[in-house]
Amino acid sequence: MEKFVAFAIKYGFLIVMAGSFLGFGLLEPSFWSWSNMFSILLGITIVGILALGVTFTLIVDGFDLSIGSTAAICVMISSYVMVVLNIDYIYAILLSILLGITIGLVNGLLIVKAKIPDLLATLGMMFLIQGLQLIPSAGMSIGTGMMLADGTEAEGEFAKQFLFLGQGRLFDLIPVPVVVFAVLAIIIYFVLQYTKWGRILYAIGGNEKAVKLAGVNVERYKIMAYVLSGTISSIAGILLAARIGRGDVTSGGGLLLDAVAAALIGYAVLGVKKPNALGSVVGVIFIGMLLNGLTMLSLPYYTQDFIKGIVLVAALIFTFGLSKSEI
Amino acid sequence: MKTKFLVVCSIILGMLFGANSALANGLKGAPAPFNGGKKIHIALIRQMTEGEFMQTFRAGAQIQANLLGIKLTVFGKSMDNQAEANFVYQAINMKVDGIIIDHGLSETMMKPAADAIKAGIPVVAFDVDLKNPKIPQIAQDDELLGMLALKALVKDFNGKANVGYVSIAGILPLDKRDRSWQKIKKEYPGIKEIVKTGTLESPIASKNANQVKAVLLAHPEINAFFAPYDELGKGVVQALREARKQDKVKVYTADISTQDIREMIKKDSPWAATAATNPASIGAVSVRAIALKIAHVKIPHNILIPPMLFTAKELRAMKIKNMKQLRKKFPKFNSVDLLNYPWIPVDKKGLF
Amino acid sequence: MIDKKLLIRAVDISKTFGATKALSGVSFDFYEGEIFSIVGANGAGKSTFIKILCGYYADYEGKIYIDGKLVKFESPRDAYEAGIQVVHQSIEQGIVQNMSVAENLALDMIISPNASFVYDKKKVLKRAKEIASKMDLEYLDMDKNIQDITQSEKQMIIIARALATKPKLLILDEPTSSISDKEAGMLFKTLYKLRDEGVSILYISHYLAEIKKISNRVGVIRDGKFGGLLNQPLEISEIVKAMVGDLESAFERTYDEKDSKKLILELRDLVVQGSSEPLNIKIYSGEIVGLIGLIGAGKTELAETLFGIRRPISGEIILDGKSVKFTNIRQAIKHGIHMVPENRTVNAIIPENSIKNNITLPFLSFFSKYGVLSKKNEIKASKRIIDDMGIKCEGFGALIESLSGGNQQKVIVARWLLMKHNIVILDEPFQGVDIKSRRDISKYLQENTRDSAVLMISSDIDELMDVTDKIMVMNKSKIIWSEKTSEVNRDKLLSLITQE
Repeated sequence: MEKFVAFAIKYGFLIVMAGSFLGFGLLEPSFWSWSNMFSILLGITIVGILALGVTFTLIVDGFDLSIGSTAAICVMISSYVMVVLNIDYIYAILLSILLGITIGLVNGLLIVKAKIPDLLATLGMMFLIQGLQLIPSAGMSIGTGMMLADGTEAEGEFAKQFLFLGQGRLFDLIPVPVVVFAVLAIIIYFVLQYTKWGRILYAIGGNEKAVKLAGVNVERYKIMAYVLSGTISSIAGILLAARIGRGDVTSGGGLLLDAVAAALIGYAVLGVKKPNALGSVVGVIFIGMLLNGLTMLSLPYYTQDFIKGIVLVAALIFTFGLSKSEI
Repeated sequence: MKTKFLVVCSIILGMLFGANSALANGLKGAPAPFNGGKKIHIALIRQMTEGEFMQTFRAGAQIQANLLGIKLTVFGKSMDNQAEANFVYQAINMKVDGIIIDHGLSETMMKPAADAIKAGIPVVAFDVDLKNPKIPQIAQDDELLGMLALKALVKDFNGKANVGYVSIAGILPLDKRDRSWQKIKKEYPGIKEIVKTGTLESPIASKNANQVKAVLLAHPEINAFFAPYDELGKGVVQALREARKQDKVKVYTADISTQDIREMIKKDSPWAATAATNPASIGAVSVRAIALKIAHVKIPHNILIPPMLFTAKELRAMKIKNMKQLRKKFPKFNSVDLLNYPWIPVDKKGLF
Repeated sequence: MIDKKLLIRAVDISKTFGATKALSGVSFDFYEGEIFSIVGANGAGKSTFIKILCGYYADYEGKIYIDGKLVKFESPRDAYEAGIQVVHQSIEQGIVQNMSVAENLALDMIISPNASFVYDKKKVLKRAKEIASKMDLEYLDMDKNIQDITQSEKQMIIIARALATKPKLLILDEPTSSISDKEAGMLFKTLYKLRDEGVSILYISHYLAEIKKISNRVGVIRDGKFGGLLNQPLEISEIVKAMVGDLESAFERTYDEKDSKKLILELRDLVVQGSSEPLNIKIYSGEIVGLIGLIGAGKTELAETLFGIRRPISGEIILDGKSVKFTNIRQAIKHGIHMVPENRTVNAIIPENSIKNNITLPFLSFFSKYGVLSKKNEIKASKRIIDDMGIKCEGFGALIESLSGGNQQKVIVARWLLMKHNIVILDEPFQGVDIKSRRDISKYLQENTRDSAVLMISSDIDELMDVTDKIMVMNKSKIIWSEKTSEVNRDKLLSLITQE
């Protein structure tokens, strides 16, 4: 019994995942097509990248609620740079990333130096960014031909190269955002698993004081975790802008919760019970696959959030419930 | 709530009905594949799923699909543009026979739609310009919609009014309705735009009410509002009531719903008139359009659904209290005579 | 002994966790009217045995007889119903906060499924008084909130509640760990009384002096096996021997001041924060120096200053002949000053991490190139020190939580002995560490302190006398005395520590 539970905790999630992969394919053969595989992956990239970002802050026992709005403001900034300012798309990318770094840095300083609890600091930041993103365009979506405050029309447009980041495909099959996601995931996995920085981040999450007493500049690491979270969110924002092709004011909604859910589901993968890059990626793919497969089997669209909730609760039971705690 | 219930009922009933009649024998005189071949499967991919307009549109589409023996799968995640794009790819992977794209951002949806065409799947679009000659564009006649409401305004004020304009630039249907506004202003110099305001921040009605209240303080000379979208109009009405100016100012809008009717028929309502199309008809026309595309029947590239004008006076006089009564009393509102072929069964009973 | 009635027999009890045999073939008998103690080093299997008796593990092997009848415990409820009552170490777990004394006493009645739906205050009070009388607790104010009475009174309430069920066996798990000596004295008196009334008591404690004082018989568990059964008269040395085996007397270390020529650390007129006394200390290579003093004497402040946590107000720290200044821990480590902080759970242990990760934490830069860790080198170094210090574990990859307290402490000490250093400071290194682990650590320090030095801070005289070469006494932020350990008189030391 004990062995079975241990096995279930470790591999249960992956077995369920493999099982549903098989099941969907048997019931609906087109599920297994390459193009469908990539369509699943394309569907989860933005949330997946954000989940990787939030993983960093979860590792240091923190939290970043501002990831979704950071991505959203980068959509607006990219559009503003290209459409209103009408300058090169490179600046759209650079400015977005710079903004992501800044937001992360401010979050980090608020939490580490001003000692504001992480949830509150990033909640405040979230609102601040949500408001800020509306200001340059006076609350309007940014698209070519939009009316500017001085009565002229915006003349710039999204650069082809920029759109390629979101809508392009390699070999006419692999979507570019998926490639970006994969590269990021591999780098982050490597950093967390095989470098001293990853080791120290996890250690800080375990016992901050002990790490401090081991001579580590804990504050700097914690700030770094938020900077990384902000930076990664801005990359997600750039890809989102390139996918949507327009500075749409509503684009950030729902991203935060989906990303956090994926990262939490990740705790259950291989029973590690910790935030981890592999888990976050697997978690987000699992949800994407489930929704895709169930939709193919005619599951109505409005049940999607319900399904996500079930997966999350089940994953949390795997993670926390099955490991019996002793009195 | 009631609408939702009706929608669900109609879908369930429609499924039973559709499965019995159309599927087995095919439709009489219909071209392939509607002559009893395989079951046709179409996808309705939506940017928005909530709101009475959206729900009624869906119900209309569902009923027309059932009458044609078509299986309709709805994809939608409220206001998630990239998800909408993803749904197109999923529909392609599911090898559907046709796709209706309902709203969305042109920039986001153009490429997925083109990819669907490339994969050999016909696409029709409602209220989103996909800039593709192979994709028929269905739309309410938004210019006419604006024009009907504005004509009523001009008539009520004898060509002289101080108008507050509530709209948002950059939204395709609103931009089209804006064209009529520009025309009217030129045509009637007595109609003056005193101020322009408007926001799409949700909740739309109350956010706009706040803006309009401020506007009323700054510009007491305003005696009419043009708000070419009913949610905006609701905000204006709310603001007028809160500022106790409902008897001094009149409001002209576009779109209609039961909720709107309830407000319009109040004795002291400032809401004078609204121009509207029937979302259920649009849904039905969209399904007919995609069915014709699947059957390789040529259809026009631009399909415009003509609107009707409803004034508060009429509604009160005819004792209309909700959409159901409205449909009964205005039969023309129900079935738009567009894309009708003898082999396509039409719902003649009037929806709901 | 034999004339007493045999109540409970535990025969050939075994239990495995995964691949580890935690307990194998342990048998003990419990008679009425005696206090039976079980002792064992941390991790020996004591708590596993007790948990089996309390029904926490359904899958134990062996047989338990109660009044000659074979029973099988599937759950704590079974053990409870068979008349085995346990009072756990943590007092807070045994009481319900926000309830009155009476409610806590009559808890079983209040939560019983047969309790009437309407809360009958009178009935509760009556029952509470009945229970209180068993332990002479009638003097307590029944309406008082449980938070407003002393720790020992709370404990008495828990024991009274346990007794109210008329148990065959009353198990007390480390009952004195959170009460004062005086309160402990009162507890013992109560235990004697219960014993004389015929209750069978199973007593578990770390404090061997207590065990010697109150037990009729002592059972020893050693490495998961039966380690012996001792009868009165009890001797501490014999108990220890049974617990950890024949300890080679590791204490024949000859210490000669002349051998250690090199001056490692010198403090010149160092004034630490919160004090105005200049400190002058010299520590030579090869020395293990003890620093003793009461809480508040200034030991911690000195250690934290040496480790870069606090800045000195004035004076000099001279390391290896050079005057050094540092403002953070990192720089202190760079200068070869390492420190094992007190209270390992709070200050040192990284939970849910492997032993290896816990050992190498401060020196990750040493094990990495461009930030990428060389797990090979890490494993090599960890394995070496795990072997050298005799850390009992399943391997370097085992989680730190899987170790006993003593072995966890070894890991933390190993962390700071892993790399070359000038001096290592150990702050209360033997808190909550069993005697075997304590000796392992001491032995390792004595054998390996040659070119470096050790500064051991403690408030326990015996600990320091065991290990150190030299002892310094700190009193009110001053070093008031310093002497070779071999020449220290225990009583004199005690008076120096406490003198006003």
